[in-house]
Amino acid sequence: MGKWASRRSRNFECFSTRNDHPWRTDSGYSIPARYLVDGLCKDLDLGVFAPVGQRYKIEYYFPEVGIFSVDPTYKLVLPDKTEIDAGPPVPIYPGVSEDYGENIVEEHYQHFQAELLWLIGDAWALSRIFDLAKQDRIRLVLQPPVDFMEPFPQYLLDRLSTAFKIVPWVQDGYDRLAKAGLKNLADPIPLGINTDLWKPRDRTKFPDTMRDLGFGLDTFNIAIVAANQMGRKAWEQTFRAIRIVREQRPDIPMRLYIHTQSNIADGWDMTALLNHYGIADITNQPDPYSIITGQFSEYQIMLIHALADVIVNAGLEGFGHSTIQAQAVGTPVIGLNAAATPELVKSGILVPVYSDLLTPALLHKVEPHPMHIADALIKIRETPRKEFAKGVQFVKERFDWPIVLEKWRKLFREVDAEFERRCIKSVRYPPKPSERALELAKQVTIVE
Amino acid sequence: MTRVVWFQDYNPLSFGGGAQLTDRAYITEGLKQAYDIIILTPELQNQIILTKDDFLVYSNTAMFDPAKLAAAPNKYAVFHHDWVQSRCKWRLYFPMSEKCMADCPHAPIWKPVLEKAVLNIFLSPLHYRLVKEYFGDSVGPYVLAPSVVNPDHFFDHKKPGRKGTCSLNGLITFKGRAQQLEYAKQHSDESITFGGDNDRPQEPLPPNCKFVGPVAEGNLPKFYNEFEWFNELPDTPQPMNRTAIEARLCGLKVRTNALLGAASWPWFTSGVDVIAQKMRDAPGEFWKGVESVL
Repeated sequence: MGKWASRRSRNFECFSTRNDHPWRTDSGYSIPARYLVDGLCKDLDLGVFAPVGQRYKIEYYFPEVGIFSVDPTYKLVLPDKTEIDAGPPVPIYPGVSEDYGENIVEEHYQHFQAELLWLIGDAWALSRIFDLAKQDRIRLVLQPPVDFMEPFPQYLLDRLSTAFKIVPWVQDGYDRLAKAGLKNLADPIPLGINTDLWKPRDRTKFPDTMRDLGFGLDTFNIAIVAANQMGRKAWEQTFRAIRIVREQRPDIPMRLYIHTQSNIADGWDMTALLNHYGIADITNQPDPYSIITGQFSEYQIMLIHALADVIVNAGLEGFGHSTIQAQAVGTPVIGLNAAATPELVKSGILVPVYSDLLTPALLHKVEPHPMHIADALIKIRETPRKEFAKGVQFVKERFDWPIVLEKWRKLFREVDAEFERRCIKSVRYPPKPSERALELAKQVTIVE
Repeated sequence: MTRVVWFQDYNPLSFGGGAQLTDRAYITEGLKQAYDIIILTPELQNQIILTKDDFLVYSNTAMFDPAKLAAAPNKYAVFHHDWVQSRCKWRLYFPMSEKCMADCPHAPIWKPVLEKAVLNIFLSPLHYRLVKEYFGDSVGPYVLAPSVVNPDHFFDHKKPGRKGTCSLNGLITFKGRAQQLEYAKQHSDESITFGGDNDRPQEPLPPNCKFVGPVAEGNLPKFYNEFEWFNELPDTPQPMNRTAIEARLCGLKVRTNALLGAASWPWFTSGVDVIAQKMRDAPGEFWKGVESVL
């Protein structure tokens, strides 16, 4: 048992994994994880498993002072040598390879003496975790993106059914999983957003950033902030749409900024794709080294959204963080009219589903038509930005972190109560002996 | 000869928990008697094909689906290492609370497994009595088979000057920590050494108590042979508790209560030689019980 364990003050151990290190990576998973860990570590005993970003050692995050240390008993030392307790730490467990860490998750779970594993991730990409859940070697609360359409493959439903609770991101995910027969569904909980940071900005006050993004005050500035994945995020359709607009409306001076890794395995060669569609000359990309070394802060990501005229996020999404991020800063978004996106778009345009495909994982994906995206781009260009201002309040009322965190607190309180009711919490929370047992304990026997 | 498929959450030949150590002794004896025994752990469920002629032993099966266990067309025995073969947190240590007796959420799930068993195996008379009280007529034919302790390993070293009291795992809440500490307070002139686990290491112990931490299995006989007395003072019923047998075989005087399964065996108060012989005979008696229902 680690030394830190004795410093625990709460009584519900939750072991969270979403593979990306919450502080050492800047992904769509890791940034929300920071808010979730910081926001919930006072309510839960949290440990984090971060195979992507943490290797070789357990590290300890002290949320009360914002310090990382490999010493679980770390204390702040003041100039007068006074030691101050840094508060209870959140251990960050290492992986042995950069994946979901299924090969060591049970060992970490046991070391942390977790009551449950809280996992936000793709169910189709995992296997052993579901075997462990089925055998009750872990208890799983899973938040999977439902970024695929019916019919759902049976293997996926079998896996999802092993979880103690499935927490969809949105009502659409809940409804479709319920229709597929899952009984272990919790109310949906969305991703959150820090609305103190994510709010509309006056682009005239950020001339340097505008220049870095390639944006002008009189150009039509399009941005995409998304992972570079083939078959997802509608990269190809969006680039074609921009080319169509360029050909049909040469009077619109367009600029495009794409925030992604430009050339990775299993992804597009973005420069080649941009050249293929003849739009490389109007496009800016970040320096790949800056992306790889994590040089973009959440503030900078916010500015990308805030300084653009439109954010395009037209792929099939289980949630689509960029969709609410854009609206939070008053920028309209173009999304696909399928899965989660219709619930998330107040200010923007939904484009219809046009085609579908089946992936090797037997997941049905749907995609938009470039012409529909092109029409939406033109419409947004011709609509005053102030007409899209309702999104700011829409996001604030639904996705502000305090609202989202309270939903997670409520869920974990319910799960805890359910564990108690079903007598499946660990033996570290022993029930008191009955009166009858205590009477029997008084009947002492001595054998000499 | 009928093949015996031994269901276990963990492989008894490689895992050292109490249930696995007991199983290891019985499986080893079965192999000596030329039984064809296969160990089936959850990982192997889809890799071993059962035939209807196999005899199944459900030994420690919280990780198996009880509905599937009950639905097996085979004859099977249930080896009750715990109070309930379930995922209950009180599984090992039965608090006998009102909720347990009247509204256990696991009982309806496991009753069908017990009802179809051709044999139930219990670790002690107390174990049988309380499970019978708990499950009623769902518990049918049974045999008693104690946790087996090797008397060639655990014996009295006849060491002079043994003194003081020891306990193993007595500082675990479920093993009777409160009773142990209460005893220590009332006997402040008695030196008490606690080995094994301690689930509240941050709590100070009375001055006459010492905690020495885990004792390796190979060092246990030496540990016991340092002391005159062994305290086992549970406040919830223990199906067996092999430590009390180990201590007796090492020549210690034992102080315990009516909640200890081991002490409910009539031979527990007999001489060490009698206990040693019971330990040697137990595996053979176990297989006689199985043979009677094959």
